[in-house]
Amino acid sequence: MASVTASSVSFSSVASSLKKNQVSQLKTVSVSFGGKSFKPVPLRFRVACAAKPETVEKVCEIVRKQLALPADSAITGESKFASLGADSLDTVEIVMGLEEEFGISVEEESAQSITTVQEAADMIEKLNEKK
Amino acid sequence: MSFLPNHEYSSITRFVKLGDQKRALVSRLLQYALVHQVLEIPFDEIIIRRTPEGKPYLVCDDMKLAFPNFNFNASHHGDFVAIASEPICLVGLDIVSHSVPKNETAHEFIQNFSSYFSSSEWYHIMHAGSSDEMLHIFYRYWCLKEAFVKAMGTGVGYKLDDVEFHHTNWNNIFVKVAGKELKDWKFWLLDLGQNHSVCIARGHPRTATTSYRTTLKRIEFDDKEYYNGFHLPNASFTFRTVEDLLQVIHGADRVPFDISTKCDVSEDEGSEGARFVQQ
Repeated sequence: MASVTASSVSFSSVASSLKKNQVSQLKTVSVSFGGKSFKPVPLRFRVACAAKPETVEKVCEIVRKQLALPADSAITGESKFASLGADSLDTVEIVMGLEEEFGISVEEESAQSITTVQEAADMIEKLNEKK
Repeated sequence: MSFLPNHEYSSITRFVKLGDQKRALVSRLLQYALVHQVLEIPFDEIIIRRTPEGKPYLVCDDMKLAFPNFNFNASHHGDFVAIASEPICLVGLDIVSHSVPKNETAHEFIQNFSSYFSSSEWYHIMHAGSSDEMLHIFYRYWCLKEAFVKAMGTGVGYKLDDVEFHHTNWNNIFVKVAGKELKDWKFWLLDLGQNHSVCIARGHPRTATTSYRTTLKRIEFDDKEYYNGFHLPNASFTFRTVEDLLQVIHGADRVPFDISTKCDVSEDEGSEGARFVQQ
């Protein structure tokens, strides 16, 4: 399984203000981009944090393949794995497939809480941000 | 579907595949039929809801004294839909179909799940001999874990590698959680024809997850009461076809239900309607 290391990290302008000796502890620091400087605009905030369409599309592909669904079957972000026919075994395999495809590592407890395509895509992006 | 109350329709139509819809439908029908037969509640008075984690339960103000803690669990996989109920203890039920993985070897397939098994369970699986045997053992352990988790009503986040099943040739099955044996839990594993296994878990109501516990009539029992409930014989499965089930619902024929009942639903997804196997 892939393990996440902080060996190469890409920084945004927020991170450039971090001192050098804090780099190695980056994994445990939570950087909030929402921050107090923004006015709360709930709907836009959610869209800005949601996964990229390409990620969602890739997740749909993996799910489609695992559940042997036809190429034209309608799978969207809201699609629940269970509704598409996934049982407990399928859900584990889907998460495994996502780990391989995106080079991430998902803990068992988090894995079991992913029930829709969108949740999977969001988790992937969240884990990729930490890389 | 017209047998069911309206609010149940979406719980069936949400499934994309026809086979899943059929299984969901039969599962619902079984639940209503079971409650009707065991508790003698008229069909239109039966209210079945789900916990946030998805576990169905009966909403009932006045429970028959013989069944102080009536609860049930259903499962479907492959060609079967099954249901089991208990009067006192928690019950969990799971069916697995021992399907051979298509795009990978048995070994590769099983590897995906390594973190859900304890080291001794994993040892048994890996040292099975043939890959067919490996799959059988894997599916049986998985079935046990699922039945356990389903009995408690936990949807997510249970550390399954801490849940270790022990058995003597799949009899006298007991479980250790974090190294400690749970003496108020029992398990049975049966093989059904056509490469399916079914597991029943029976355990103490106080182990139910918070949300499911609120649906139970009673959590605490005195030792004697619990002992009786715990040591009820494990009724064998009764096989029913879907036609039998529909007859029960029509009230035309009182088909005697055991504590556990199973339906055989064989599907031909290519044809217009479903063909049901006559037993």
